[in-house]
Amino acid sequence: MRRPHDDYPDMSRLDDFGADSVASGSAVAEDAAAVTDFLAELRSLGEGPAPAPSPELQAIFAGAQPIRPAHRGHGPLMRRVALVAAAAVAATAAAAAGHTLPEPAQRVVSDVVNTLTPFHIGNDEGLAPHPVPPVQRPGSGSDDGLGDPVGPGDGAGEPPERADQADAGAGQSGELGGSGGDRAGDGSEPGGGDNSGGDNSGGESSGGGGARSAGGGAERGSGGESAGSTGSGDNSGGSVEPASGGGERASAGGAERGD
Amino acid sequence: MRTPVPDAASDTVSDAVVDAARSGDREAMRAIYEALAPAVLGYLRAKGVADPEAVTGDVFVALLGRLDRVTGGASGLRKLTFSIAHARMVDEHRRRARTPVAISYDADQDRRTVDSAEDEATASLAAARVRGVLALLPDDQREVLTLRVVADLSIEQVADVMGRSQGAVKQLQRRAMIAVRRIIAEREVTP
Repeated sequence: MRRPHDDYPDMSRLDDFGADSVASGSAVAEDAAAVTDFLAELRSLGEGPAPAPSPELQAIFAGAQPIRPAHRGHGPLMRRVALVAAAAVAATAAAAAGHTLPEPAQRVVSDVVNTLTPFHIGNDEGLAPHPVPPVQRPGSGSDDGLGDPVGPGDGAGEPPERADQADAGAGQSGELGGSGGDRAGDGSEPGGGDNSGGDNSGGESSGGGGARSAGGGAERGSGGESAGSTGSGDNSGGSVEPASGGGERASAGGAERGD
Repeated sequence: MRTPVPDAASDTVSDAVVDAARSGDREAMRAIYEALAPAVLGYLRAKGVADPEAVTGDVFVALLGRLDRVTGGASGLRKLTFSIAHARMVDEHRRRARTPVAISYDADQDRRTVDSAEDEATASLAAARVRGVLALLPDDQREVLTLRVVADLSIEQVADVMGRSQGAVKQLQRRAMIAVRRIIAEREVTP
C-alpha cells in the first residue's frame, strides 16, 4: 500500500493516489525532479505579497458596505416564459384571423377565440363546414331521402358570408348552415328536382356552394317546392335568392341563431 | 535526487477571522484579502488572464459581498473564493474571445509595485516557463493542476469548483502529472 512520502520511481505507472501526493507536495517523484521543480514553480505563482487593493476594495476596507449580489429568483424566467407564451398565442390568433392556419387548426382556434374572448373570427371563405352524415331512412331505398325533418328547419341554410353579415354569432351558424344546405339538396331529390343540385350540396365541402346548389334545385322544379314545403327549402332560399317564404324564414332563423 | 518539498501552504485565515468578517469586521476582511489574494492572483496568472490584478480585485469585491453565504469556516471561504475566481476567469476568457481588445501599456497608470529587476526577471522566467508547460495541457487538466497546486484546494473542493466528480478530478490530475513529465522531457531533448 502506498503512503504519502513514498517515492514513485516510474511516473508512467503513477496512480491517482500517487499523483495526488506529488501534486500536494507530500511526495516526491524521485526520477522526475523536473516535475517536482515545475510544481514548486507553479506553487510559487500563488505566493508572495497581495496586490494593492483596488479602489472598490479600499472603500470596503474603509467602511463602505460591500455590494451584495441580487438574488436571482425565478421572476425573470417566469416573465420571459409568460411573454413568449403570450406572443405565441397572439401570433396564433392573428394567423387564425387571417385564415392562414390549416383548416383543422383554424376551426379549433376560431372556436376557442369565439367562445372565450370578446373577439370574433368568422369561418368564412375557404372553410369547410363540419361534414354531416346523410340521414338514412328505412325503406326509402335512397341514401338521401327527404333529409332530416328537424335539421333543415333550424335555419342554418344561410351561407357563411351571409351569416357573417348578420351578426357576430354567424361563425357557428355558418357551420350549421353548411350542413343544412346539404340536407336541403338532398331533400329536393324526392320531389323530382335536380338530383345533381342535391348531390352537389351534399357532397361539397363548401357550405356556400352546397347552399347554392340547393337553391338551383328549388328553382328548377317541383322538387324545389317540395323541398320548400318540407322545410328543406329554407336552406336554398337562404343561400341564394329567396325562392320561397320558407327560405326567408330560414334566413331570419339563421340570423336569430347567430344572435 | 530527492528535492525537499515545502509543506502545503496552510490557511492563515482561521475560522474566527471568517466569523469576524461575516459580522462586518473590516480588519478581518482585510486579513482575508491579504491571505488569499496572492493565491488568487497566481491562479489567474497561471490561467492567462489578461489583467489578473484587476480581476483579483473583482473577485474579492464579490467575495466580501457574499460572506454571509460562507459555510464551513476557513475551508469553505477558500472554496468560495476560488469558485468566484474560476467563474471570473471563464467570463474573462469568453469576453476576450468575443471582443479582443489590445490596450497599450501606460507606465504612469500602472499602480503595481514591483520587486527588483533581478527578482522580476527571475519570477517572469519562472512564470513564463510554467505557463509554457501549462499551455500544452488540455483545459481540464490545467484547471485541476492550478486549483490543486496554486489554489491549494483539496480534491473534493476542486471537484466542487469544476462541477466534476472526485474520481474524475483524480484521474485528470494523474494524467496532468504524466503529461507534464512528458512535456518537460521533450523540451529537455529539443534544443
